[in-house]
Amino acid sequence: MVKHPFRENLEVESAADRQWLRCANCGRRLCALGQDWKAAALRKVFSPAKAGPLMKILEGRYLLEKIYCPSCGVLFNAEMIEEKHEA
Amino acid sequence: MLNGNIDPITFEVLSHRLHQITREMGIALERTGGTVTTTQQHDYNASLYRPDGEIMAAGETYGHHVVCAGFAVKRILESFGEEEIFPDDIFLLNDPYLAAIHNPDVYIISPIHYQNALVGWSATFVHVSDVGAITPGGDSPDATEIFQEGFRIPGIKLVERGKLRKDVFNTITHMTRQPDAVGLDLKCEIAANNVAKARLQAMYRQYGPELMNSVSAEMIRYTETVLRKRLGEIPDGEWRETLTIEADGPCRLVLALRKQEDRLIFDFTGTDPQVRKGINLPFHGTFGFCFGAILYSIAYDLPKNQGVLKPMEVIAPKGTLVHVQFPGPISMSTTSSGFGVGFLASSVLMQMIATSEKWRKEIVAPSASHRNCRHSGVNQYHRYSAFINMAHGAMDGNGARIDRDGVDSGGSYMSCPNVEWMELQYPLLYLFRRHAMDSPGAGKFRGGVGVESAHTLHDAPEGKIRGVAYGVAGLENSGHGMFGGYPGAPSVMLLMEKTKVNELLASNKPPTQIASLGGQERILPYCNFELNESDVLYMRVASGGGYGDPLERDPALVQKDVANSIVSLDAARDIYGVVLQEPGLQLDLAATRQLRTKMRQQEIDGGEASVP
Repeated sequence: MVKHPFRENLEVESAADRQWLRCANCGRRLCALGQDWKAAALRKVFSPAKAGPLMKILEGRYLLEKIYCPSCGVLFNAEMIEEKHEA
Repeated sequence: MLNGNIDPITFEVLSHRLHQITREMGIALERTGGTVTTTQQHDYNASLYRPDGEIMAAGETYGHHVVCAGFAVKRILESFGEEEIFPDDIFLLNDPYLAAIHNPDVYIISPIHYQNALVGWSATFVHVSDVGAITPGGDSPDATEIFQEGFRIPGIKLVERGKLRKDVFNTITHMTRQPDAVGLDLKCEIAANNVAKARLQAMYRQYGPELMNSVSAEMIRYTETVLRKRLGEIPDGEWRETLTIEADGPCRLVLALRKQEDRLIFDFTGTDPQVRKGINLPFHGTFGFCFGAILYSIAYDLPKNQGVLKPMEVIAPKGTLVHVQFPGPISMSTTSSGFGVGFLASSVLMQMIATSEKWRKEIVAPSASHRNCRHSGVNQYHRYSAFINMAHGAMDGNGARIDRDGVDSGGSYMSCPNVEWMELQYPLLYLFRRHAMDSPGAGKFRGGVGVESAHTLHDAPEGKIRGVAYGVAGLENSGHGMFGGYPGAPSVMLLMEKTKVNELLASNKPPTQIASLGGQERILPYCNFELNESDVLYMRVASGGGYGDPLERDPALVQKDVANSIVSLDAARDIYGVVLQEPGLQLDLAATRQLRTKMRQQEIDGGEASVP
């Protein structure tokens, strides 16, 4: 088995001619490399003000999206997404 | 990895000496320039080129201008032909549809001959204070086509065989609102190019044409070879990023980076069509901003030259924000779509190097830049001037890295004059300029703190000055977080009209909080505005994005940030889960551990989340 990083807390595992994305913290396989790993992870959205008091200006237009490992809860990603895409 | 025909010590000495020439050109610009933009803010570039226009040695400031000045050299060669290019000629070009990025960035280009043979070129740009556009200073929010954006010169001899063409010089400067200042800036560019010519010719005399030509070719080959080797070490893949700029509606920039073996393909397919607002970017600008992103990520330690360009390809559909077609307006291109492209390219490159164990240590959370302001009007000495209100990019907080915080007000480009100098030159009074608390993106490593400032009119003979708001407008500017890190606070420009500022000052109460000013507030989009007596302009630049999960940040670092007024006590608790006890801000580690566990569980369970 060979592995290399994909991003913080995510890594690529290569085994038997197949490549998987997995959590680097607990080893949970999320999906095959190239598939939408976010769809296989745990996703939550919050008010943008969760990222700080100066982010209130984003309220009503953006949401803070956070993506976690569904097994161990380690954080993979956090970013502001347009609220209209959530509708 | 060097070509075996060149002694490595000679190569090192000569390549560094060539780069030193570009630095000396910059010093000449700083010492002889006619405006604060050149002398203090250092909005310039100075580079050397091979006879065919390939980049020989890039200057230290803007990557995109290094590339575009190379295109300018090629346009001069095409336009005049070598038979019409003589020793001691100097050319001027500022046409964004040929090589420049927007009209105020005026390229001065000098062929360099040795024994009557063309052996290279030097090129500079400075951002001149005016170009006769519809808006003073050139950045023109109301322009709908390039004909309203000032003089546009496709290449002209400003100096012929060593003699300044006064007719040409006067024609150009008289098209502007500030002929003296523009004239001084053009002459400082001539001076810098003369420095380059003298130094390069001295090297040719000392080492001979054969060795000099070999060294400059080898510098390019060396950079290309090492860069391709580095790319080969990184897994192939594709990475994407988007950015929305607000300009009479959302304008979306889209980039996919494909890395195939030792090649990089930047594909902007999907980017929105160009608009009738000067945020459109010429193709060579898009190319240049991608070059800059590579230069500052995985080529920062290599000789800066054409070799960086060799492995890259740019796909930018015609008629889009990143490949404007004539006569679309472009006057605000550099600081809007230009910095937008720079952000996209940096972001995808950072995602790319995150897949390499060897290179991921170089990750820096990217920034989508900030708002900018330019003023114009009559100053306290009854002289008219147009000027950038501070070099705001010089005060951005930088992005966090994989193992450390971003640099506080580290700046993304240019330099920043001090407040006193600005007040001495212009009819302004600064109420404050300081780090903006809670502005950096939170993370295991936080972004660098950005700066906020507020100023009002002071001793303005006309009781008002004009302003233009530009930069990256919208709420997606500022630093973006990486891998769990949060974004920096958006950069905003807030005009506060009819405030109590003068009453507060008269009663000896310095207005250090904008909430105390009263008045009517409005966030400025791309627009012209007036700053009148009793108005205040508040600006907050970009702050760095964070890296990693804020709940993993060392509590002692949070404690230090609170003590330094970078993070508020509330944010320490609510974002970082760090419990500090007053008085003395003592760290309660047990309570911190407990709070962090609870916060994480609440997030996962969605207890406080507005989950759709």
